[in-house]
Amino acid sequence: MQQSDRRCAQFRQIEVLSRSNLAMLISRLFQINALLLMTLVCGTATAAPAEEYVYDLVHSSVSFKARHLDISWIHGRFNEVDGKFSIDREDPSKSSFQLTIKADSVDTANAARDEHLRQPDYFDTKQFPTIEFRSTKVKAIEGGYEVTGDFTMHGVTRSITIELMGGKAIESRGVRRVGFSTELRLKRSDYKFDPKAIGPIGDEAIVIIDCEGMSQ
Amino acid sequence: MPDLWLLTASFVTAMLTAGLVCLATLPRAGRSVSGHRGAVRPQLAALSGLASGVLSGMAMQGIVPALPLVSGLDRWLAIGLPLLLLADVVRCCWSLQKFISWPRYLAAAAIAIVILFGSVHLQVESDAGLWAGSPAAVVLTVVLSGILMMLLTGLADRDRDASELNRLAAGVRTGLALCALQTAAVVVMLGGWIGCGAAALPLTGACGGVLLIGLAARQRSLVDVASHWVCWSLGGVILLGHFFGRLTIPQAGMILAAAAIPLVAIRGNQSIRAKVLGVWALVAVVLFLSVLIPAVLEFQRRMSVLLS
Repeated sequence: MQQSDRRCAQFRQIEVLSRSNLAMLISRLFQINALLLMTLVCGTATAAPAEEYVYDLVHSSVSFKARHLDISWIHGRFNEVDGKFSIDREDPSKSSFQLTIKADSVDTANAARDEHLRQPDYFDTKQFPTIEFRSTKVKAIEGGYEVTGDFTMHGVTRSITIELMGGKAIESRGVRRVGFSTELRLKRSDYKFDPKAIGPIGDEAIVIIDCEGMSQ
Repeated sequence: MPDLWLLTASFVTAMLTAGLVCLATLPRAGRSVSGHRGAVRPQLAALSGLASGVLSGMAMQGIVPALPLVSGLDRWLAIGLPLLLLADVVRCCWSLQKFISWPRYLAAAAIAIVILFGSVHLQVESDAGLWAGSPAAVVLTVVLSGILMMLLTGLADRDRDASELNRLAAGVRTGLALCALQTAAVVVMLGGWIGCGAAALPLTGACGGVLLIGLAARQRSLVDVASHWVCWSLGGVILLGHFFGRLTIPQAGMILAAAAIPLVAIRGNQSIRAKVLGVWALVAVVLFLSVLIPAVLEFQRRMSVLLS
């Protein structure tokens, strides 16, 4: 009897010990999980991922206008444009903007003039098929971003600074969208366009970009 | 719109300068050296006349290749033409002329790559994915362009006999090929690329100047030099006009045919009078009816709204 009582007491002691160990183990696991969770939550809060967008051709436009005989404006647009934006709301300097315009897609509502513009006296689209902008520096300003970047047209790359106004993002039909607008003035002579071809069309062209980006 | 007076002045300046430089260097070269060198000097005189004629004509229009040489026309003017000039000088100065015409052929073939370099026609892939020709298409473009330039060199190389009859025959052939070159330049201009046609005018004028002096001074070697430069200029304008301008393959084909007909049909060992008339008429018909008039009509149809 005494021996069996002693064994029972030993079993109870072992059971109590193992229960307490299990409880400790579980509590430890909870602690680790909580720590991991905290780390994740805190990490997310301090470094939100940059928002990635692609250029929405349907809801965007890259148009331009140039003086004709210094009395009126000729308007045109580029129909084939591609681009992507990365917007870091926390640290705007990490944002980036890229735009690639297919020069061949120039459209001034007159086929003969478009054909003329594609030729080497103007855009020389067989030699320089694209017009490109690649941002190198982004700074947040009131109502948008000040973006400095390399603008390449007609084989000449120049650093330009544009004010991209907008940047408000909304969710529409499950797609996150952001919109920007800007206007820049370029001199064709700065991009080595044939000076003889400048003639009746003014040297300066105003480029108007209204673009919408869709989240990928 | 191009300034027609300026273009005409550039053409005339190139022609006069080339002719005068030829004349100024030719008699001294001809008198002072005899034998093989005596035959070489007139060619060098022709080349110096050509170079000065082209430069003066370009200066008249203010044509200066833009640096860096990123456009096809700039590369043609700043690399292609000096390369051909160098090849011609090397060939002239070498003692065994018959066996070393290869520098001309190599230079002519290289012109195709010089003109097309960096353009979409040589791009297999592009970063933006906007242009992507197949490797086979790129190789075919380069090979066919090189073959065209070599064929034109070969056409100009034909029949180098220096007899009196041949000189006249060669002069007529070269003159008709010059008409084809002028037509090509005008058609490229009418197609919308004024710069290329304008740059071709000093070339045409300089070739014409050397040719006239060659005929007047009875120097067959001058006519030969002019013949080669007309063919190379024609090849360059056709490649530029087709790959960068709006010169269509049928137009290019007709212009080349018009240049090739006299080069092939008029031979030195035949009486040329009757034949020249026939060939001249044929070339005129080919150039005016099938190329120039349709190009003018198309220009008026397309551009009338813009120019009115």
